[in-house]
Amino acid sequence: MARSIVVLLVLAAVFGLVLSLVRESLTAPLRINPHVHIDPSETYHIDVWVSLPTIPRRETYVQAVEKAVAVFTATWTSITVVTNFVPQPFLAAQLRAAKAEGKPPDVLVNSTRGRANYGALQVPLGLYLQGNEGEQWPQAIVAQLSVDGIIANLPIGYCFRVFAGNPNLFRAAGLEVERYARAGWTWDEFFATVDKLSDSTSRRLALTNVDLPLLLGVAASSGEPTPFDEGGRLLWSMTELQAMGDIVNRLAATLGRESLTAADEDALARFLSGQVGLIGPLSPELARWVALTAQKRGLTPSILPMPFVGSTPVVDIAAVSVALFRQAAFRGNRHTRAAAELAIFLSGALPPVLATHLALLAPAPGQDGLLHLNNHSVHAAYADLTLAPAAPHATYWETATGQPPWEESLYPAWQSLVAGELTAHAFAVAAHAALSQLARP
Amino acid sequence: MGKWLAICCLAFMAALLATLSLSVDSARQLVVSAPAPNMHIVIDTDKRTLTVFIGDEPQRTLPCAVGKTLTQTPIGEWTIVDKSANWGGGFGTRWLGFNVPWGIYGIHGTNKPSTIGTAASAGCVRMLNRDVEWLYSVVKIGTRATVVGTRQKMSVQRPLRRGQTGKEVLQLQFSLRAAGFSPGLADGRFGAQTEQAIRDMQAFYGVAPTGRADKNILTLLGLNP
Repeated sequence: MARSIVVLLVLAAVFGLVLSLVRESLTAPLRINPHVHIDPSETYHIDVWVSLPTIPRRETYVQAVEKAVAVFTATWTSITVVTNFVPQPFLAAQLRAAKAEGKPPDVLVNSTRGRANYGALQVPLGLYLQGNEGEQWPQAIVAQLSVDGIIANLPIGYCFRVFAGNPNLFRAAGLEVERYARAGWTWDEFFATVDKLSDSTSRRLALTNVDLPLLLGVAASSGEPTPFDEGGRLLWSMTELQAMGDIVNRLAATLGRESLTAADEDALARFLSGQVGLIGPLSPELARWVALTAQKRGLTPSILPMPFVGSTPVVDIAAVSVALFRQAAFRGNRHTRAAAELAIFLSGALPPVLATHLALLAPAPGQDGLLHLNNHSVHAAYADLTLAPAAPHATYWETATGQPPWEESLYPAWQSLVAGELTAHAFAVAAHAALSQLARP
Repeated sequence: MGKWLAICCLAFMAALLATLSLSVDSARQLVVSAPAPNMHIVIDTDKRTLTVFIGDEPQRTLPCAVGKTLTQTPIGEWTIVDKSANWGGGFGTRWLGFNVPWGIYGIHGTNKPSTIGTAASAGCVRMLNRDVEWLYSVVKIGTRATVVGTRQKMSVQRPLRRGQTGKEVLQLQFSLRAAGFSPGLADGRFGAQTEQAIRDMQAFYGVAPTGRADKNILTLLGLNP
């Protein structure tokens, strides 16, 4: 009898030990091993999603991306790639749905203002960089693309917002436009410049847009382009929101409220005919168009960054990037390595494609890393990556819960501010309330 | 008796042959005159030809006369909206009207067949009567009629908005299409598709999203005088 009890106890102990070991292995975090090598005798099937913005002749953009992928698969013959082009407006929802199913794409190319943190199932591409490869980018860009101190995504281009200046009118007003083109400028310097450019008959500033592009540009000028951190905490204070409101009110005082509320539908023609000294905000494509068209008419405009708030120079540059994911049902380290190789390849192959089709800044051989719009070889602040905000332009919090983009929630208050229906303080109160609704409770 | 039998046989065979050929002709006519669902017409003002297509396949190319220099046939993407017969005189035996918003244009016959192949009309497309009668029999109302050819780009003197029609709207549509933003049919009517093309262009360039062809859009398209 005693012997039976002892045997039972020993069996129970062994059984319990085995169970605890199994449980530990089931709950242990998945360890990505970036050092594995791809087995050439295996075949890897990689899914790539490429966001497709609303651009003209998108078929040539699609062809250029597909060509880049084809070059990769011609080299890596054991890797087959399926490329899916997802219209930009649907990307966030489709990605969220795919992640909910545990089946995100292996590689994501987000070709507009992207972000670093896509949450669960994302694999940091920084794990696959060799040696000091991560040091090729300025710290500000590394900060934009890192999560928890690790480079998460690799840049494939840089989006920006700028003003264009007429050097002739600057010179006539006794101003040196190159000073601000080289070093950037504060909003105080911007308004002082506009005052000097203008005369009693006309204000020599033309705004191409007073809606979301201006809102986003003003927001980025503080160095914190998005109001939330990764955890959903609201970063923007009443002070920062009031500063945004003050900028709009100064624009209204400069241009006249009526001119501010009615979009300047003749801005481009007036700039090209020399009536306007400063025009903006300009997207990359519009900046390229203005520069090239003006040059055909004998005018070489200077490209100036968005002004910044405070005393520390910051320019509105946002990295767009390629990201890596794994499936919820992990397909193995070699599969993830194959996808990483594609992502790393695309980070080198796609910048010229995005520069051509989306007018983004991209490293180009023979230049100091960036495609300059100015025709003269001076340092250009608008393209200086070291001056970019050292913070992402979008956080995981903003899309994790499927809420509307923060700028859409802020837009009604912004419209009222622009129309003069709200003071800067009232705008700050309304904006803070709207953003608090989206923040982590 | 034998002779009469032979004559009857010959008469019977002749009648049989005539009946068969008539049936074949009728059958051919039936096949040809049934309008195909994807039929469309292309009129080339440079070559002075009219071609009937089914899908991408040309079915028949016929000579025509087009408008003179000062009264050019309007280049664009039109639709056949009315058909009528026997107007007579310079209009010949048949008429197929286009939906050009600023005037009455169409395809018709003629009493001056020697002008076919030249630029002779006041803007309409002129065909030989026998050709326009065939066309009339195969084309139904709603058929697309595209007029192509050398076109002078015109400037647009004023901002344009939805609901407007005219040659300036047509120029706007061609320019939008050339810029890579599809306005739908280039038919001189500023409708929803043209408005959407403008909004897409405004979003692409980041200018104010008015949905109107304002001066910024006209400048971007190179249409400002």
